[in-house]
Amino acid sequence: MIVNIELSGGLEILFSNKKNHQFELSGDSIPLKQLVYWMRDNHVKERPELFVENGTVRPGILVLINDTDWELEGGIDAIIEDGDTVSFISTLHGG
Amino acid sequence: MSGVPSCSTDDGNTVLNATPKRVYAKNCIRCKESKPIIVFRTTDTLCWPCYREVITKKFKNNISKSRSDKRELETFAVSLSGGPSSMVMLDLIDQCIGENVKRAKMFFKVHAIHIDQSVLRGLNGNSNSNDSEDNNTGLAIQKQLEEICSSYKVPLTIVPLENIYGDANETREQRRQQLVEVFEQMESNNTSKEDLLEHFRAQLVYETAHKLGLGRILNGSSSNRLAIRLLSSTSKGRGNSVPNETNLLDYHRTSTTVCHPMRDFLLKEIAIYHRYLGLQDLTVPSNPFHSINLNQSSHKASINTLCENFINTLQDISSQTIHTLLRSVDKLHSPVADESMFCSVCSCSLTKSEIETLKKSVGERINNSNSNNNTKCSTTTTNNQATSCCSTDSSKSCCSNDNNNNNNNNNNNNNNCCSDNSSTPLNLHTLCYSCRNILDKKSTTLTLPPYIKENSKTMVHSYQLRNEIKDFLLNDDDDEDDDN
Ligand SMILES: [Zn+2]
Ligand SMILES: [Zn+2]
Repeated sequence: MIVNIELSGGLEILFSNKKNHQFELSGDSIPLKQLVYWMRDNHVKERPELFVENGTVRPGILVLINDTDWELEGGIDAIIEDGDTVSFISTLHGG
Repeated sequence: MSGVPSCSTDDGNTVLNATPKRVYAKNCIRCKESKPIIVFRTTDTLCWPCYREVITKKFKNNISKSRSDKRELETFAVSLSGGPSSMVMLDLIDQCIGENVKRAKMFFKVHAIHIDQSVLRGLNGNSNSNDSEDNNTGLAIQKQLEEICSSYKVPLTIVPLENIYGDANETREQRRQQLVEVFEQMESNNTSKEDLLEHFRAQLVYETAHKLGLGRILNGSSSNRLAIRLLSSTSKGRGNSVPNETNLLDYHRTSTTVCHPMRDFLLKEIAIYHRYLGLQDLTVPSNPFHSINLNQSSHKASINTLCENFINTLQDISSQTIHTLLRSVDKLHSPVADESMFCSVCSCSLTKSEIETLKKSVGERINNSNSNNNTKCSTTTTNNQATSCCSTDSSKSCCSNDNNNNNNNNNNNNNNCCSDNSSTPLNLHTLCYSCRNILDKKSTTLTLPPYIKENSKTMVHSYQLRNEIKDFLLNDDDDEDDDN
């Protein structure tokens, strides 16, 4: 499966300063929580605590799944499918 | 740190409950047809057109409350940082007064002001952010703002941050250096840097609005930002001005009013709206000292950042946190002093006791100079250039070193603050508590923007004048006697 990832609001600096990523993963779907951990472990080189905190996306980072509020999809328990776009938007001033 | 803080009132009732996991309606609850894009206010699932209507209605309501006279064609200044909140505000303004508005069109005008702080780029300690790239970002923001403003038919004035030192063409480079130096001298004190930047930006917006003849400024601060400010201001000893700073209307000095029409909107709501506008996201964090720092993991977070993280965590646990905080502050009012005196740096109202201390320091100075053969500024200034007006206690006065160096024994001949000498130190009593904290010990070594000393001097001078003529004024009692 292929997942599109968008990072903005300064968060891209944790991901080699690139805003758009396309990741290829095995299987047809993946729980968002697992995807977030995978991204942290494979693509965040420094200060991973600025992306993941207490088992979820750090407070102050908004998550949209296909341009929709992630709460509609179950928040961190959402299931991401092939072709989905997940956007992480930092509203944080500080880090 | 995984424990969930529970907030309870004195009688043991828990007021902030963790947001429970919900199953939401499949369709928009307003039009009952379209696919929802947002969970609005914990329960309401809304589609984009319905969401936009709901937000616009709330915004219009806030603008109405911000207007001084609804019969006049008023012009607001709009403070535009380029971040999502201010861009969404610009679109909402267009929903009020734009050409395409068909129903309930409002009648007012706006003029956008953008403070360009590109001069400070590269100060955040990320060595990998190279200069030319940063410069391009600065230009890209300006270009995008110009395009957007012209598409909304809103005039835009861009003011570089270094203009806090004036706007003469030939001194631009010098001003840029002065500004950078001030921030460099704050060293690792990020709280001071951020606060000073905030005060300078605000001051420039006031000055620019004033030059344009505009008395009302629309500021796009979201409810998140205002809640964070509520907390951080209180921790920095600025609690006195919290109700003012975070309410819908913030009265700045006596001439300007800052309105917060975005105060009802959460950053989440704003970010989703911003996304649906389809604007390219060029946002750099509005505060350059705030950007994520990769190099120093020991990087000391500012009070502002700590408060931000705290509020975000609470908001995550209970989505009512921010609104509850702001609703509580609605009920508060800043204590009103008998006289209006304002901090020379940040323009917040000085407290009663601060005014008393200021008066005392100025008053004693007058008495001293009167008792010492009535010398005024003219003869003594050269001897006592470094004499501080800020301290009345001669043993503690910062002038003592200089006096020793100069073999100057005129310790009692205190310098008058009204002296025209530009090297007269800043009277620290004309500053509020938190600005005193920022500039204390540094005020003599920093080249501060001239507006600070001007404010300070005007304040001291007008008090002195009043003091000098007070014996010639009739007080209220005398007045009544005369009338009888
Ligand atoms: Zn709808
Ligand atoms: Zn102040």
